Amino acid sequence: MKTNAFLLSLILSLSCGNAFASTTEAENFLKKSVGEVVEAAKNAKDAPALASAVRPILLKTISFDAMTRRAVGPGWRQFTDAEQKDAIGFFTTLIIRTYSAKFTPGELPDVLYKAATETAPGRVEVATTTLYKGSRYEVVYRLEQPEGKGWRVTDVVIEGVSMIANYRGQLDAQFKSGGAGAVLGSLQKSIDSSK
Amino acid sequence: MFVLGAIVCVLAPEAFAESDRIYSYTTQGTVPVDLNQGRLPKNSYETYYLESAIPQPSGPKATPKPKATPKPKATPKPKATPKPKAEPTPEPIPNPKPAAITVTKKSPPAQVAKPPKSSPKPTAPPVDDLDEYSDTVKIADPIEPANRGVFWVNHYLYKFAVRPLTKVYQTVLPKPVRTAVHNVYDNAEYPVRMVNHLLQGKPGRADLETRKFLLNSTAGVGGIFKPSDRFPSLAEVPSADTGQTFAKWGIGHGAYVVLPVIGPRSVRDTVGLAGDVALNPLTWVPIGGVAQAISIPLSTPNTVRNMDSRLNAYDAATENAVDPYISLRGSYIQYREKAASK
Repeated sequence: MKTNAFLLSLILSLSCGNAFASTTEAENFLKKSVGEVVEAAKNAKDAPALASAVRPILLKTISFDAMTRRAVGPGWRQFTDAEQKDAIGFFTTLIIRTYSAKFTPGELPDVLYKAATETAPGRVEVATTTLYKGSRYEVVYRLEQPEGKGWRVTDVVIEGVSMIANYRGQLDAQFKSGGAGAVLGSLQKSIDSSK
Repeated sequence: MFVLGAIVCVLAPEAFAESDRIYSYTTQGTVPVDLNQGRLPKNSYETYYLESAIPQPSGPKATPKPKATPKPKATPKPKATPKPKAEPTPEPIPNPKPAAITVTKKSPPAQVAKPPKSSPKPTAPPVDDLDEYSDTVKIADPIEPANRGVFWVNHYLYKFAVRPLTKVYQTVLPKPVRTAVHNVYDNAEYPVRMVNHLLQGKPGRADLETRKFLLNSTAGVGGIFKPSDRFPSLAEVPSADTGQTFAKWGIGHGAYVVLPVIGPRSVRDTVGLAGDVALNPLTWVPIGGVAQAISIPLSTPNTVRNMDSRLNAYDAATENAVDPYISLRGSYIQYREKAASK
């Protein structure tokens, strides 16, 4: 009986320890990535230059596969391989543009990190308070480890508004009206119109 | 040992739950459902079955996707797995009623106008394990065509009237002056926040709000400066308005409406806006001879002092959007849900 109790305690403490290690790892990864983005924003002269500068950083920081899949929603499984590849490509461009549009070259945010939490097995959320242009924003970064690639950001939630949930509403409506073709067409149109 | 067992029960209830797992039927066959802390996904259109309700395969030919089939049981006369894609004709689900769990919120399934794809992704699930976006809050939009009309009128109004006005305001007044104007108005709206904190049953926040008001009104010279920002407990007091109070009282959003000039609102928040106006001291008395009719618009959210920040929020929701109308609606409803949950 004592052995069982000891084993249970050990398992519990190990699982707590693992959760702590995960949150710390994820938080460190995020801090490093945000630091790189801020550095890029500092040196960029205009918005297009900023988008170009942050692109390589975001490509290694964000899981665009997971983001696109979830943004499309249940219709994703009806996409062909080629359509999925196209959708990920379009969505990557759109997300990088959306994210970099939130920064003005030369104006740097001050990011205060709060405690990171493991909200589900394999997912860590890092809450921050971002002071930018005199305003205070609550920004939550969701991170996961897709396919053993290390930590990747899978969503950014600004003042309660999830970037992916917001696209899900739009793309799901497109899919229901015209299938994968409508989704791809709308993504392409959005990219073209905001050029 | 009993105490330890109880602790484990609390920390890991799934370990002590019934052995039956939950499955759903997909085109890939039966797929186990990952429960989020023992709960089914919200707002899902799927029908879920306990493992014991799932018919067992009659033989190898009836199970085209054995991977998706739950662990085999020693059932004497098992029937075919439903919804197989292979040759054998599937039998209807044999009496799933006793153990079926249907999520209440049901909507028509997705209508795909495009013909079926030649090579659909074989293993892609509709949503992955960590996909939680089907839970996203939605709002009824029964007058969507009218709302879309007002949305586009507002869009061009912002573009051709409000934005230029904001530019003029920013050009005429230097940033410190604009900040001071913003601070004074924000400080004057203290009763709106304080009363709503109390109505939400949060006297602690009402107390902090009062301290903040007193500090900014005195040391901040009538609210021009904001010394409260130096104290995290005062700087981070969540805002409160009447719409949030209604939400705390359990009142739902009602329908979504796009108001001229003001923009997106739910019916609940529109009524709440009237409450905020009534609680705003700027609407109680004329200021410096200015008629009350003019002081009321000054206290509404879309006055010139916060146009810039509101336009920024509007831009964030609509720029790079696939459908700006849906994007703004989704952003609004998520933002208000978050505000009400604080």
